[in-house]
Amino acid sequence: MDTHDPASPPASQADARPVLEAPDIARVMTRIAHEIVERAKGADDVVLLGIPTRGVFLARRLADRLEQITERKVPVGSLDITMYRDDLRLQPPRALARTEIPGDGIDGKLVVLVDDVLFSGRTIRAALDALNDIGRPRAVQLAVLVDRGHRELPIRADYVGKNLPTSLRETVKVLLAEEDGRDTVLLGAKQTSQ
Amino acid sequence: MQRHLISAADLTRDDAVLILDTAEEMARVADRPIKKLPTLRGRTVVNLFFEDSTRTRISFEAAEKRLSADVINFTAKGSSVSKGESLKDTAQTLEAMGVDAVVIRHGASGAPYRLATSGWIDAHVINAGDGTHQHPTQALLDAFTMRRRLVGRDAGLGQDLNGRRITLVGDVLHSRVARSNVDLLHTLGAEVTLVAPPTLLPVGVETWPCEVSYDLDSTLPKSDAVMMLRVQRERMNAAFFPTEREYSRRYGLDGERMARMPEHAIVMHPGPMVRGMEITAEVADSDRCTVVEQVANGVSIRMAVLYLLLGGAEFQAPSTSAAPARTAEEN
Amino acid sequence: MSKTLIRGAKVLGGEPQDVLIDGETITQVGAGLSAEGAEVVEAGGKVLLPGLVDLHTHLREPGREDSETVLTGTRAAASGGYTNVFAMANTFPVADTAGVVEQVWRLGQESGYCDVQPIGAVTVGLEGQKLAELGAMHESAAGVTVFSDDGKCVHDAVIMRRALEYVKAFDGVVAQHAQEPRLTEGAQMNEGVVSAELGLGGWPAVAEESVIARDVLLADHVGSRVHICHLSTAGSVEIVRWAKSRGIRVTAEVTPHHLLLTDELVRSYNPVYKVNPPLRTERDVLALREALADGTIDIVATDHAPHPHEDKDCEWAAAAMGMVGLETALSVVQETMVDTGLLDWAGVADRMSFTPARIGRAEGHGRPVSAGEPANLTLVDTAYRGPVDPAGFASRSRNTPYEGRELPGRVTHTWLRGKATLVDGKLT
Repeated sequence: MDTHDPASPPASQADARPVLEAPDIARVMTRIAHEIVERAKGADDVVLLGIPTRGVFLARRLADRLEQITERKVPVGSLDITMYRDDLRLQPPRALARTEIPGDGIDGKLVVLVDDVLFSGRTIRAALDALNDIGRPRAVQLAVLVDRGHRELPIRADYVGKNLPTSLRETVKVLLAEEDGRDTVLLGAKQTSQ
Repeated sequence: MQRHLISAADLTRDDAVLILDTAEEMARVADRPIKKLPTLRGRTVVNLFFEDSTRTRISFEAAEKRLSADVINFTAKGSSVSKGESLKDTAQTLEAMGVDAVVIRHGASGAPYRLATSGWIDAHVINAGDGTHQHPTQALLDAFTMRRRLVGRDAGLGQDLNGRRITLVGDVLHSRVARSNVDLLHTLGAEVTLVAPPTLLPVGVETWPCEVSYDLDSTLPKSDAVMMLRVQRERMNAAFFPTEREYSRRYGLDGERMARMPEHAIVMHPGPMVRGMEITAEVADSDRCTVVEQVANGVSIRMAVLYLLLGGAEFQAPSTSAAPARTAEEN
Repeated sequence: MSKTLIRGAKVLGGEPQDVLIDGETITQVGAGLSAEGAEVVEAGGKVLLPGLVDLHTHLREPGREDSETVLTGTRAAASGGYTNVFAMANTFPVADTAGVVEQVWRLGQESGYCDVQPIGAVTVGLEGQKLAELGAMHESAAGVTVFSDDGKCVHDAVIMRRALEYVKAFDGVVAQHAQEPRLTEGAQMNEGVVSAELGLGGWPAVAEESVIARDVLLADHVGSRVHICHLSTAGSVEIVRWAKSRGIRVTAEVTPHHLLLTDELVRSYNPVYKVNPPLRTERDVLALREALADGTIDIVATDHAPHPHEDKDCEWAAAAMGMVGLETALSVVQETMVDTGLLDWAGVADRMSFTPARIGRAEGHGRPVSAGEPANLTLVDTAYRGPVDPAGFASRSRNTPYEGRELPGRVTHTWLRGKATLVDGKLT
């Protein structure tokens, strides 16, 4: 779906091809949780921060899995990056989403940013700036469900659910049960009518 | 929303709720160690004050600085800029300096509207109070305070003030706060009642979307919020009411009267309060009085307004609802 | 002197006729007049009116020549079809002595576009306290018969009574600007629904009506005549109607703008709509039209009030009050009175020429269009309709509320005592 132009209709989902289905998503989330535990050596000081909207749901799912693995509550929150975007003045003002930092803060913690799709990297750049104004983590890592390439900044993900080579004429749309009623990742063609 | 914020009457319900919701997020910035956002970096905002108002100016200035705007304060009161033609000269000077927004406080009703519509300047214009006309950010911060107290901080998100009973008491005739509040509260679905001596109500008030009463005591038990408007002592000399004592007795809020309000009801005041006139110290200092909260909320509201007017694309009127926070395509 | 034949003009809106002017006088009116030795103006069905007379004009000279002079003001008058204007006394210095009124009168004579009849101030400096030398102004070369503190109200009942009585000695008339000063302190616009919303100081109708009521009773008591300037409210109409029914010698004027515009326009905060008395409501406008049609209001007077651009290009409260009107008056009257069927052209001639001349005792003006009368005439293309363009005004000021508004009627020719001051819409 290309919502840059609100007038254009969303890409018909009939034309879009699912590249990940619900069981795939569940499986990669579990895998990422294990990777985090492994790389963070037990995830003692991990704080998960999802980037709204869908990154927040993914972060909560990861937190549940981490809790199952480590039998400890993992702090989870959200980080809205709207006010830190580099393209604010290219579009009408956007509604803000919630930034919710867990009670103990992020100072000295290992912050894992969670997002649905990694594309240009500009969102993550904005997220790093936003974090900077909130505290000083020990380290920052990035987990994404899909990495579709086409980076415009020197940013990479530490945990990737699926690497998905795409063309710029394609769109990647993540649907999650919490927001969309079902879990799936769709690959479609960009509307060219305009 | 439109390019300017001149009157609370220009806001639709969705505009107003968007501003209140945005302000809730802005309020959270105040709780952080670094109370600053980079959003308006490189944009210049002028606080153009033709009338003294330290409170309002400081509130706007704090909001502008928290959003990283470059701030220029221009206080024109008492200088040669007291004649009308200078508003135009001043505007053109600011235009030449390339300012992005003008926050204007002016003693003449309609001055911000003139500034926005006369072609003197291209900048966004935000009305920080004009004469006895409008003070839209005050109405917004009042509505924000009401929504927080009466609906709830999180429960209020996306909500208006549908069915809430709000009473405004005092000098409605000379009050831009009253006009803005009547407009905005009506838009948000509240039931507004004005209480004042007949001398302090404008001719034509009967066409406003509110009730009018001369009797405070019968209105208090039916109020979810009571806003006391400032009454200047000088009004007494122009025979608007006989004495301060009589005014206080009939229209002032004291502890005894406050006790007649429902338990959940709050007392509001746009400040500065005239203690002993429209409000007693006992009421002003009580837990039910939101004056201090209103000041804090003022900064959040002004951040929200500045962000929504200045934060997006130039010269593109945003639709009533803002764009979605993010889209898949922008990752 | 030269002869002019106006061929095929609807005299006062009647059947087309020819009108022959010889020198300063109309010599013949009839069908198929000989054009021999005469310059011919083909009227082609335009309406011929007696030269218009404005009982209420501000020419600003002496003192505010930046906004208007007697010369530019009389050129504007000729453009609008006027041959005689009464110049208000609120100049700097105030026209409260024989010297000042004679100066204005002479400037008018020299201009050659329009006769200027100065109005004398009622009180010294328009201050409302001490009678000006009314007799001396009357006896001066200017021969003042109309006295007014216009811009300010003669609010002291005793001063007003004395003035009404005093001018009886020479058949003068006091033209009252009815505005109770205490009720209008800080007033910025009509008090009502719109002022309540806009937060602009209210100007209650009662401030006008109470003074008119007092003054018609005073005029009745002392047996004087009184003239009411720019009557603007439905209530004022009722009072004047009542007074006339009682036989009180009251006359009243209405401005073109009060026949057309309402206080809703103030929502723009554009000071071009700021005027004294203020624009009122739709109800008032309709009452004023009806009163002008039935004769309760006797005349249309422009209250032509030129102001320099900077006095209007500012915020409302700081702006000057007033509008220019000489060059649009007839069009507005056609729009509001003729095209609405309330008044025919004979009625317009009465309200804008015959009666104002009679109230002001103007000799040689407001005369019938017939043989032997002075050739003060106005030819109007009533079929024209177009937008008002202030850039084309002869007035030095441009503060018109009608910019861009489509209005009917255009004055194409004006003759002042046989001399054309306006030909094909151009000043001579």
